[in-house]
Amino acid sequence: MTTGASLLAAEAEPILVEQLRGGASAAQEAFVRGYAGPMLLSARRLLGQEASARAALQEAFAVAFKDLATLDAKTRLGPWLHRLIIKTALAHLRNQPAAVARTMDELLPRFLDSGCQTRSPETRRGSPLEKRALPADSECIRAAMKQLPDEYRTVLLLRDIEGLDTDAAAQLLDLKSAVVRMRLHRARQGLCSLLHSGAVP
Amino acid sequence: MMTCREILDYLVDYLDGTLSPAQRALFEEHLAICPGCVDYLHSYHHTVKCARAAANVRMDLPEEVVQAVLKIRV
Repeated sequence: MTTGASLLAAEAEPILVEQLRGGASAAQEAFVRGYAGPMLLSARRLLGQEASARAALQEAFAVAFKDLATLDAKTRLGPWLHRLIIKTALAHLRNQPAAVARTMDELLPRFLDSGCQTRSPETRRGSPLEKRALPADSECIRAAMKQLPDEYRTVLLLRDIEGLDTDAAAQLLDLKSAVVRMRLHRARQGLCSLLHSGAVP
Repeated sequence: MMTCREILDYLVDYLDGTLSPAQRALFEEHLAICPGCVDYLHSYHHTVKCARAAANVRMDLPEEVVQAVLKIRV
């Protein structure tokens, strides 16, 4: 099941919610087993640390069990839990020590006064990144993402990894959509620079 | 004629297909004469694809995690 998707058909979810409100153990177990996997994956992607991801998952479920009592009957469980784990993980992320030594100024392309880009020999086709096998690339890419400033990495994760649209990401981050678009673009440019310059082994 | 700086500013809109026809024409006019920007567009697009592919890792849900969550149920 993909992150944010609902385990059950829409008409079956209210039944599960009622069972959960009634405290049925079987329903609670089905609920956790059905949705915890994708939620844990989202937490891992955002936090990059297993212990933090598991802690965020437990916190998210604690909130979920509490909020089930007043959940609107039309709310789909998958997307609701997806938003919940993201908000919880972002709160953890804000409490993590800064892991980046790079500034965006270092990573963004530079231009001459004429508006022409200064040539970067790294950002060319056939760069080392493109010749590597994908498994090696995954580690390389995650290591590069960690070098982005947190506010840019978060947007990149929410948009390109978690698949949220701009407006949903903006709402979660309490930012304007235009800011989210700008940060996404710069995050991608920064990641591109890191990956293609060989800054990441 | 767009400059390289403007190409990068409009890059996301170009990839999203939201440029106006006139802007798209200017964008592609620049690409036709600037191999640096063509290479950069390719690298940028490749970076986005790689980032998305890197996120699709194996998903495991350890049993101890399930049990830990079940212990905190209300």
